[in-house]
Amino acid sequence: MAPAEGRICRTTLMEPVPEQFEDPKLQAAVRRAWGGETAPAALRQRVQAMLASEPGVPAPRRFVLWNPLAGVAAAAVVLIAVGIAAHLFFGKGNVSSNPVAPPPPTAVAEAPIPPENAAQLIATHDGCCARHLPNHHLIPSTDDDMTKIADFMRRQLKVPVLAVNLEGWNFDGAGPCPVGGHETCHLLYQRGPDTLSLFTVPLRNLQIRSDGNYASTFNGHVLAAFVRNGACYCLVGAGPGNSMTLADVKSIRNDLEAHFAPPVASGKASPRASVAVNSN
Amino acid sequence: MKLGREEFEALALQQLDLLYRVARKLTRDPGKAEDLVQETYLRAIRGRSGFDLQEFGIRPWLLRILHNLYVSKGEREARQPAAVEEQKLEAADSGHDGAALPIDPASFDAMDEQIVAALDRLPKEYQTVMLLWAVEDFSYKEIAAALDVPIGTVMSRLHRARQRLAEDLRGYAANEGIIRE
Repeated sequence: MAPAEGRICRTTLMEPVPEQFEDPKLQAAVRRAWGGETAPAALRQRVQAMLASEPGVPAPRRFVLWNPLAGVAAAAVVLIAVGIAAHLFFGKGNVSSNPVAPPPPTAVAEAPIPPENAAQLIATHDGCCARHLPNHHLIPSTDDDMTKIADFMRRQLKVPVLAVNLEGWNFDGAGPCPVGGHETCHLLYQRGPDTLSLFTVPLRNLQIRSDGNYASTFNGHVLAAFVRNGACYCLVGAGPGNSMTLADVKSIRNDLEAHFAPPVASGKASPRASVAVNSN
Repeated sequence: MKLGREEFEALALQQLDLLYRVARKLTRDPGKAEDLVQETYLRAIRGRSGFDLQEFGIRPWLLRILHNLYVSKGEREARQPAAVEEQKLEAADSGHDGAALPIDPASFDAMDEQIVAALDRLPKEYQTVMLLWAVEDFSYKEIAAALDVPIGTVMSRLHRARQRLAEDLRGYAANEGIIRE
């Protein structure tokens, strides 16, 4: 049988090549030349941070496909929906004759953070708190200097980075931590039992698309964010009981946003926070 | 076999130096090498659920991600050919197959500096194979799996790299009296 084209032919064309290439002298020479090269410490730290902050892999959604009762459940849902629709259209019961009720007035002044992004931000916040506190200093040679951190991370992320000291909070360090598999700048703070994260996330890695303010309470965490110049600056707070409220993080967010908007004059510190934004 | 998160993390991190060395050879630039390695880990983290620990462990899998990233990046940026085509490599080396080495590899012991320079002059694809074989102790099969090429290609690249090195070093070795021409 003639050999098929492709892999077999390419391999058999290499007739002159010896079957086993044993050459300890050459191997030793190459080892001496190249073997000592190791990854820079900064890269190692970044990779460690990425691996450490890896959000949990979501469990596969198997129920609908695998559970034989799922079909029955789905059919029941459809029947109930049809029943409700029929009830509304045919005017039985004490239901308004207008089948389409007006939507309730919206009291929310700002958009919620998309749940998927909120879950990713929280996963990174929780992961870093569990693994690194009180030492989340994952960016080398920055000495907690906010300008250096902002400079370093801007080069990584290609968007202006927000690095701040917050009054009343201990700064526990910054890291290039991934959110949903994408690198972000992640600053972590503590105040007693409360923890707070400040993320700078390139907008290209989020479902958020437009400038503005965002806030959510999600899975026991409070989140507040603002979007500017292609980046989302997001606070994620958590604490026991109600020690951290949505109002708290929104207040910090508003404060940061106020400082962020105008060009930052060098050496001019705000009363509540020192802000370093590098947008060069 | 599926790995737990901790195991995956530990295994993946063990390969950092290897990935960096390969990235350095491919990109020939420390900064780009770091970017490439970092992106490789990001992809690996994202693809962890699809990783299955098999015969050769995690090394070929990570290397394959790195190599594919490098190739696709090169194609996207169109700065230069992402990988030297085998035909071009063969054309550049035509006439060398089966020929005896210009110098005895035993002479390599006395020429470390020259070897570093000669290795650096090799085409990237040869360097990568040479590095995996000589420094990382990869088997041919592992190299083939990591670079997604047939084993025959691995063998021929190694052979040609060796030829080139020997040729490159012949003049120096003769001048220094390490060999007699």
